Amino acid sequence: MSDREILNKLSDRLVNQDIEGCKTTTLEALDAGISAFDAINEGLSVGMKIVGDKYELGELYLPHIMMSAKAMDAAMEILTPILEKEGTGENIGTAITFVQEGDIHEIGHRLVSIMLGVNGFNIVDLGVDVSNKTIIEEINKHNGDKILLAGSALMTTSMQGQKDTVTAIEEQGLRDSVKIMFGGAPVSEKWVKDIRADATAKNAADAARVAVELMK
Amino acid sequence: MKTTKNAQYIGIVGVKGGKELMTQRMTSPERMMAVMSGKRPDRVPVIPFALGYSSQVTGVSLGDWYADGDKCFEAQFASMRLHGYEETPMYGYASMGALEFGGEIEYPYGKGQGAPFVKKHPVNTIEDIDKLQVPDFEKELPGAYKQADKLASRCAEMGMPVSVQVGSTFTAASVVANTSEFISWLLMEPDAAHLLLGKVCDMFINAIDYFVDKYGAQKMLPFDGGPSESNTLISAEMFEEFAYPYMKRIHTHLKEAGVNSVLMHPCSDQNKNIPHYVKLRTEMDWSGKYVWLFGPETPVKAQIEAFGDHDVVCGNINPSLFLTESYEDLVEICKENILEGMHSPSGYMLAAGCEFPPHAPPIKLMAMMDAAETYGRYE
Repeated sequence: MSDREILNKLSDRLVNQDIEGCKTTTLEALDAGISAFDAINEGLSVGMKIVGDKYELGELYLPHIMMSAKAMDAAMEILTPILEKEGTGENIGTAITFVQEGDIHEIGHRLVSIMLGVNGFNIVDLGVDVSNKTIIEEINKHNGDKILLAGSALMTTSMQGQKDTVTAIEEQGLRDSVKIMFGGAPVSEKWVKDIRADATAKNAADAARVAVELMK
Repeated sequence: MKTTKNAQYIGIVGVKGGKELMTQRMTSPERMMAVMSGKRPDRVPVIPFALGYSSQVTGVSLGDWYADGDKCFEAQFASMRLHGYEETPMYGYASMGALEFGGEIEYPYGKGQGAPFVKKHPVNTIEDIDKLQVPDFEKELPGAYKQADKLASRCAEMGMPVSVQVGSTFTAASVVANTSEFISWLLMEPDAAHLLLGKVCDMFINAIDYFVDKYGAQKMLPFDGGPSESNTLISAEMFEEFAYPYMKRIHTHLKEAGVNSVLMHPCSDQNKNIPHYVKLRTEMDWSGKYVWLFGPETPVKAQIEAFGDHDVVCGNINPSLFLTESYEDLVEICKENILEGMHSPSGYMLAAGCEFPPHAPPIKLMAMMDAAETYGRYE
């Protein structure tokens, strides 16, 4: 089997939510001399983007994406130690992802983190219920990098905190160091504009597309 | 706060002032009664879905509002008097189920929090489902049903409908279990998912029996709905397999108990599930009344086509607009919704498509009322 065929097979395994198959095909790719970086970039990421597209088209739903994400995790367990030795190559930037303070709805946030990761971002996942203090500290840690802040909120009460986050970033003089995206069910383009953030997206796949554009 | 006899729901028009009496033919209860019995009211009723918002009216914290059924009732009752809308008090939240099955929740006292949320799910593994005990309502009411019952008794005392949460089974199961695990089980362990759904459904059946027995079926306006079965999460086929059978079981039980109206809130985007909601009535051969309150993703026109012949449909203003739009713009948005829905054959009410934002300024709710008064009159 050629390298291309193995990489396609890896992508297919991920699209078909085949966790065990994803593991064995990852090992097969490494045995064939494919680098960990290429296995991710040309196999797993391609598969995850297909999953994202199918989700947008209504052909796949959340349970499928979550199973594909588990398949990806299984492959990454094998690839991450190798990747650390090989180096990861260039990335688009650092995406600091989080769920707004007071909100613990993590599923959409996890999907966005995955989709940004497969589209070339280095992910710093702060998790759920994240305070502005933590966000500012994290931006400062990565100051000098190209930074994307990607926050989500599923409730109108937590959405209102996004405004405070932008204000806090402005007050710290960090606004020019970071692009800010917000998403979640109640978040609209008007809201994002009103609070002086940069962009929003309608779902996780769209978020990746918008984020890549934003970082250009 | 004590409610005086002359401020009772049946006499609420007395606290509205002379001008209102001159311009409005119907009281709020009369208006609701008219719509629910298929008659034409004087104007479209307004059901703003103002739950946590009402905590602003009496000045209690959102945490206390959820933790104490009496405070919850008093705030909602004060808010309905203040604004003059038709919604009567109810108790419930999207994470209901976890506490009742032995998990832990936290009340929303902190910044950004909008409703109780799960701190510890009672189910994290498939083995946990086997051990799960269905709450018994005969000895002591489980979890938040204690608060729901306090509120229900106050409503019943004042002649208002008793609205308690009796669904959705799918959404409740998704919080009884670790949500990510539950979603995975739909594909990987469907039998385990069904076992859990069955037990959650049993809890709601027990709740129906308790409340119908205590307050009477005719006084009930139970609430069924949730976001986890939306098509942003699962397909219509998954809805048919994992949500519909339990919904049908609950509604069949309601029918057999003699309940004749149910408030349905298919939350978020459930457009692909509509055919299943439509067949519910046919398969049960039910002649009762549903009040459909879909998310803002479902056009009013689509609701009328699907349910207008039998049921009341609700206008569904996107809740976040109450935070982003001005009073004037909101009146226009509500006007469009009213004009689209007010001639639906079996009735229409103006509503928010999900909970009215708890921290929205009161003038935004006033926009709904003013739009109903100005553009929603049938005379």
